[in-house]
Amino acid sequence: MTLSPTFPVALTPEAHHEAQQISEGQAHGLRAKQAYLSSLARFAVRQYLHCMGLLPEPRLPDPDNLAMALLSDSAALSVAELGQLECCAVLPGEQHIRVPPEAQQDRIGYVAVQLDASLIQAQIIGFAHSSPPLNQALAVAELGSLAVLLQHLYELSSPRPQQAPINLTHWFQNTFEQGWQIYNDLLRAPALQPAMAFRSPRLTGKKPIDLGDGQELDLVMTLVQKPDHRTRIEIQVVAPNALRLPPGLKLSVLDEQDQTFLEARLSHPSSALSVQPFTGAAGEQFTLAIQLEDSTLREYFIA
Amino acid sequence: MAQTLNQRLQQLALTAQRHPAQSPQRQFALTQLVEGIWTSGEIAHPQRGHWPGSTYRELHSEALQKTCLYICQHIDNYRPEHPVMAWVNNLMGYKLKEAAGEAYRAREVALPSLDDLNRRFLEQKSARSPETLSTAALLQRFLREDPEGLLAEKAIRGRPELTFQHLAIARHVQDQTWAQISAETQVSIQTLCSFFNRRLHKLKPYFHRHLQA
Repeated sequence: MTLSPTFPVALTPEAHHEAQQISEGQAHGLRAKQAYLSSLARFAVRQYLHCMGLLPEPRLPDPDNLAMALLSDSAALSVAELGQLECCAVLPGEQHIRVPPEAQQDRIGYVAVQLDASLIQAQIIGFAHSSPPLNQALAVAELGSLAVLLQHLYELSSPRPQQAPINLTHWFQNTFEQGWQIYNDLLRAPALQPAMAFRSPRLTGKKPIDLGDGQELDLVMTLVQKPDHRTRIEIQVVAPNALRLPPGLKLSVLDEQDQTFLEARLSHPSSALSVQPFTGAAGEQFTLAIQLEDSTLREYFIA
Repeated sequence: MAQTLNQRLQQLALTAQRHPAQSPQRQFALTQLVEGIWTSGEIAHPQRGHWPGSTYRELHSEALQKTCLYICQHIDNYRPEHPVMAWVNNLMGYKLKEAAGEAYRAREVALPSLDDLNRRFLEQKSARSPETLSTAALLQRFLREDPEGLLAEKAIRGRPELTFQHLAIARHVQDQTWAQISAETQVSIQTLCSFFNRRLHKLKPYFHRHLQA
């Protein structure tokens, strides 16, 4: 079964030369062959996106690709600021696409490239938003068309509306956003709480976050309702399972003008990092930024 | 009454013209147009007798690619009083000369087919050229020696022995699969790969410094 339309690409001597260079870094025969074919698939997708005006004239061999291709089975193509597209070679007679484990995450999509037996020509045949689960294959027949790919890239490049802020007053009405686990913590020792505050409605929300290095952290927010529609907010990041948070981890709270008004930075390994508790008036917006090295995660809230 | 080939191609060209550059509508019309051209059966074969068959097949396919790239980039120049294929075939003459000029430099060795690759990588492993061995050997030596100590700089949190270097050697020198490494280390494939990719990305300049001749 073939999808329509498919986009034909000539596999030029330059494409083969690049593939040859990459496969030469592989000491093991099967992987060398796979590296050669993946490199051709990557060339074809790059050529297609160049025709579509989405990538500049390709430089060959692509220096950005060499280290990646030598050390990883993935054939990822960076598309401007949008992210990486994984290019998957499909050989004659194959009905399925396999995605190497390295390419299961951090991809904006998967493009299937049919190679012909002569390796003179390739066809861009289809697109999938996400990878099949590990060790499973994706049927070519289930791929989306190139229209889906183009639309997807277009949407990624259009300015995205800011993620909707989480309204914390809703938590007291038992309405929680996906990913958050909320519990009343009357049972928790109110060690630092004055007796009055202890009687105020109080709850804790927890959400696992991933800063991109595979280590999950928990974001923990404790809210205490105060008189005059104000909420006392405690924010901390906790390492689950008795692990330690990495030094350099930074928490910042920003106001509506995106100005930092609270900040905390971890200087040595520790199990938790918190910013100073603060009080927000109902309707006030703030942003929490959690930063480690060059990855930053932002969460938006309304007090 | 079925549309003629030219009506169909013309319609796609005009659809592309109607939509702004970079819009998915224009891109999709161009995708269909290029497919239509390749499968038209009406592509000219300029200078066919000048090269042996297999070389000409490669040159022709390259010239067609250059032609289609030109068409995608200059679709606004298309005038509907000419059939699309007349435009294509006029361009083909120029682009074939261009491809032949480049190919003269690059095409000293015939391009391998899939069968050639199978033979090369699977059946004749021992017959690889010394040059071939050295690229892989160079990389392996670099992974082991880690001249600036950057490969072993970071490890998976809580597992100081699981550095990038450790994983790269397991994968690349020992040819272990991620599943094998995961079973051995009791760390999920997802965590291993996520760490590996992140470090690989950071280490790119390091590889460039040492692996490019």
